[in-house]
Amino acid sequence: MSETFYKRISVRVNSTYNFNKYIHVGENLMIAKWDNRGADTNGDRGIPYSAMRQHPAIPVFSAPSVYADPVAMLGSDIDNPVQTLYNMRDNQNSSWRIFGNGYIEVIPITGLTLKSNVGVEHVQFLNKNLTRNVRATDDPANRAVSSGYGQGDTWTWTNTANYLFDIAAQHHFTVLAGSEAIKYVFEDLAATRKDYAFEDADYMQIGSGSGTMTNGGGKQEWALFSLFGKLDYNFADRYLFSATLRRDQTSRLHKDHNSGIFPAFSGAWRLSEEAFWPKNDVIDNVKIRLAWGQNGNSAISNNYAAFSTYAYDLGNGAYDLNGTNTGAISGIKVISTGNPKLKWETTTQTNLGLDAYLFNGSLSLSLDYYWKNTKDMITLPPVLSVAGENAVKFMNTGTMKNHGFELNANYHSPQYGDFSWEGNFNFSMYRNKLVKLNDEVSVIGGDWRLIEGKPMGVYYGYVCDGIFQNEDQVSNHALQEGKGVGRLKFRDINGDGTITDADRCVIGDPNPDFGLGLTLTAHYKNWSLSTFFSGEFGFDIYNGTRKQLEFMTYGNLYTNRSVDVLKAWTKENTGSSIPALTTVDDNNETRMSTYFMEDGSYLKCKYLKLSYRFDQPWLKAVGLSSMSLYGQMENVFTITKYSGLDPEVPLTTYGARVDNGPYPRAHTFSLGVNLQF
Amino acid sequence: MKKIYSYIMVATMGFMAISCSDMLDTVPQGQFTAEQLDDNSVEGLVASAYAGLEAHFFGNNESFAGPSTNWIFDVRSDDALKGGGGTGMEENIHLLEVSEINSDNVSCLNKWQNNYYAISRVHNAMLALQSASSVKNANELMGELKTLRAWYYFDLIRIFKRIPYFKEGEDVNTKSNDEYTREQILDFIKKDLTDAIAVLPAKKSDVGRITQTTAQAIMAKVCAFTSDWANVELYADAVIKSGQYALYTNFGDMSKIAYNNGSESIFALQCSTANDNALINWSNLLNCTYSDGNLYGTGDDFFYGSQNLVNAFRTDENGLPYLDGSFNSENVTEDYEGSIDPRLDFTVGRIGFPWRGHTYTAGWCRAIETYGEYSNKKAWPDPKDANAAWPWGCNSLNFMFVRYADILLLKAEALIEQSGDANAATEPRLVEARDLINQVRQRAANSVKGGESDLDPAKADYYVSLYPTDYDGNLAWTKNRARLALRMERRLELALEGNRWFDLVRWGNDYLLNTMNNYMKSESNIRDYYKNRSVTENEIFLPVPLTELDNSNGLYKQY
Repeated sequence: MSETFYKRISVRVNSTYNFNKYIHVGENLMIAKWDNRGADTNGDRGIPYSAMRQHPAIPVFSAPSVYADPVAMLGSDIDNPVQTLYNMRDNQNSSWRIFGNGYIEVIPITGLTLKSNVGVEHVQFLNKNLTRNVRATDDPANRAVSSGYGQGDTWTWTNTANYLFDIAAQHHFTVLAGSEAIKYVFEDLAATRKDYAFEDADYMQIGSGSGTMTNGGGKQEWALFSLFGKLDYNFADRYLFSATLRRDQTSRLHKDHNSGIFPAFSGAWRLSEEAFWPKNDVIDNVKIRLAWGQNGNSAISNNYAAFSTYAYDLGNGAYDLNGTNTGAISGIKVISTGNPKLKWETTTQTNLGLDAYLFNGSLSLSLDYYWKNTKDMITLPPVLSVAGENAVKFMNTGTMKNHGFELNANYHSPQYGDFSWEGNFNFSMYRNKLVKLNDEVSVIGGDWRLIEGKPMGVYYGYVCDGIFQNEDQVSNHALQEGKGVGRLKFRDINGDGTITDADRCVIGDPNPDFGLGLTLTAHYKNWSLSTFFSGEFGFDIYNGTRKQLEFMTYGNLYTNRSVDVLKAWTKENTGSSIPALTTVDDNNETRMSTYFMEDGSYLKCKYLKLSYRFDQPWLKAVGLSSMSLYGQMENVFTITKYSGLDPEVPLTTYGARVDNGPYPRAHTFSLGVNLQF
Repeated sequence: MKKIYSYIMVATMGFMAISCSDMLDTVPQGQFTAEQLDDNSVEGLVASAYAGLEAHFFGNNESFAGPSTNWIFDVRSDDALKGGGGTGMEENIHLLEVSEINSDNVSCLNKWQNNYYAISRVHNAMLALQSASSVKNANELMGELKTLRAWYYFDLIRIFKRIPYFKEGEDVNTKSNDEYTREQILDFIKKDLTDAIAVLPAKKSDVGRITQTTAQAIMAKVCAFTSDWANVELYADAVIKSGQYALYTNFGDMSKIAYNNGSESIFALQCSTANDNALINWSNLLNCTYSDGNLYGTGDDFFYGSQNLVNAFRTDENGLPYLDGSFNSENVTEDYEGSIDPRLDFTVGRIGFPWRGHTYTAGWCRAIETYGEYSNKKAWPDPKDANAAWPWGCNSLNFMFVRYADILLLKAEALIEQSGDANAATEPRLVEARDLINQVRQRAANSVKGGESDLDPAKADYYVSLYPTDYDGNLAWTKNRARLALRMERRLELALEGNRWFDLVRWGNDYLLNTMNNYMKSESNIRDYYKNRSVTENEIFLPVPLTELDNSNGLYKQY
């Protein structure tokens, strides 16, 4: 896309130093800087979707170097996307991330390691957005510069004591105790100024405008403190046992409920170490694992969930009680509603697994079956409007169950002369059920929702039974406002003779039946060729873009349609799945229905990469330990029956997959060099 | 040696244990908690309770879809069309216009939500006021808050059939919408207003505040809604006799910012350009004319007058409106040669006529084939007093929820409804009603002079006169004719100010259905989308919003 770019540079340094056999110190440091420039590309006003929706009769330019004005030409309020890209060419966001760790390790007696680690992560961003005039006649007073700066620091201090000891020859123990403290602080500033005499990026600085100035900013913080202990016991590498106990405390919850205690146990039995295990050439090593454990979650978006808060408001909470026309009295309004009783959400997972190494370790297999139950799940139950604004609060109300299966297989071929290959295959499937949401409602959400007893994010709407072909079908159908020949027919699920809200039902599930991934790499001399395939199968996408593409009434008459509308239903073309064209949608055909449900199953070749590794002696001479050169293509191809641009749509709320025309994944070609010193 | 290190480690761990409890003790930044509310907070809480009148809480769309100015209810009535770029734009309002009423219409949700959010702000202010130790004018403030609560509930009860009602401090989550009948809730509203009238002062230096007469005027409107005519007369009379109010000299003055809180303004949304245009009339934001030449920026051009409304401004050879229903027999187009009430050209734009000194042309009309040419005008001051960029055309012109002409006409209506079935000769109430109606008409007649920037006497024959005293026969000023005249006068005078639909509602189902179904039939000749549309009795009130119904887990019932 023109006038947009992204670049990133990062540097990493690690070092360790041993004073003597008792004391070791070390550090690592990572610095990254990245820049984004240009227009926003996402959302229903983003560039790709705007370009798709724009009426085809509107040109990019109405005269040489004059951008066409969609409003003047067709009353369209979709901006000229090419002009938008151009006007936003100087928008930028530059960010830094500095991440460092330093530790000291003391080994006072054999087997005992005391370690103290301090980590700091600093992230900062500075962004700038310019609002330029759209038309020649626009007032320069509307030009604006908005700028924002924010910085966040995360401090982590971890202290551990680790003691290894044996009792007799075959009883090996490891005991670990430790604490970890994490503190996060974020502060930001934002400012806008209006009215700029000139439009060039050099002039448009935050301080040079001559109009209205506004500013904002705030602070957020949270902290975590954990104490933990772990015991590992290993008998002759045959029986393995481990127990963990941790207590986590968070600043996000009320003092009286801020801690959670989470135990975990696991055991493994290495069958292949048993005397009865027959010596063979096929299976080298087999291990059966059983684990049970609990962990907690309190990572919610409100850092002060226990507090009900108020704030002065200059915007929609303020009012001009003195009738000055230009002033206002600041109002106080409720900003958030707290729940002092909120506590940790707990997930209990049981896992049964098998690991096997075959054929001298060239093939490894790992199988896992898990059951995962979450209780006290933190949800935001909907509230009634009578409770007032911002009355929503976090509550421990939900229960969810998951169980699933994962398989991972790895193969390394032997060296066949100059050639060898390796592959990794994984397969996963899960089933998910929301057992309980809360005491208030059994449903949250709209077209995709959480429903008790159903998987997360199921789609909810009408069943569309195709198109009415003739008057008989129309008159024999239930009472459906707007029905007619050529119109979509919606099913009377409850059989009451009228199509109403009550005829909606679950019409799709965004959760895949299974997913898989396959990486293959072939080596020949210094060359290697690798590729990665991934796929998800048996899930539904709500293809919202078809409302725009197939319905003349959707999103205003001045917008664009797919060429498929030429194949819409007519009395001559009764086989079409697209209803007859109309400029007035009395039948509410863009309502949520199975019409927009599509199977999203896909298999993708995500990348293909060819690289060459230099191993010439001159590398050493210039101080390099290795160097390789590679060429890579990303998003090589997709196999799917899905009709939209890309079946791999970003997950939206509740894990639903809704296609609103996001920025398509590009075929990316890249060349690179990897240096190691 | 090794011991020393062990001690260091133990020491650091100990330090961690001490510091962690402080570290976890974080409090909200840039906000304050309920415990910190004090006497000084009352002013801010009261301001935000008033700000509920803006119907602007978290985004912009809740103001467009659920406006406090109730223009979408003018669109439901025979006065107005939705406008904008086509029927699909803000389709929820189109569905109201053609009376396809569904509980998932976002206007249902937003009107409901905006009013209950506002009530919640009122209650927060009331509770803070009640627990405050010493606040100046505490009784008056409680009177203002009770009036606001009455206003918000009144807005709800005239839109929705059954609503939950609760007072400050009650558990809102247990209040069903069938706990109280409509009559009980209207009585609660009147009780709040009675309480407020008893404590409010007649005048306040803060002109945006509610006074005793504001509460009396609202009371007159509530009583009219319940056909409690004796009290309409009582409270309207109190407002009139307060001597604080007078009609503006010119009908167009109400569209001038200089007249904000002037003599005709009784209860108004205070608009302000403060805080980077944060407090403008968000409810009407989409309604700014398209204005060829971007006088107001790129207005979205919603809210058009219907042909039926425009035709109602026709006057006969005596300068009086057609009360026999024949006003709509001829369309006021550029060929129209009859006389017309000048208020028309202050109410809507007409091609070829002036608009605040500019000429209104077809280029001002965004979707002329669908919605015609009559963009609403009252809410838009001279473009030099408005912003030419986003928010389009925004300005600090107040929106009058209740103005003096409304109260004069309500008093006239109360007199007519209480009068015997005789003519003026024997019924002094009918005479007084005629005088009140004529006061309003006299101002309309006076407005030709001084209205040059909106009227063009060369193009239109502006002629409006008073109802005379000497008619007899079939034009005699009987109760029936007085009622027809009153209802027509309310329509003309208050057009596109959010009153018409609620007037139709209170004039009875038969009157409403008859008016609306005739209107849809005749208007469908030029507005295609009205074809085969109708309003039925169960569509007069909006249903409980689907989301509220779903979220109430059975607490709310649909009617």
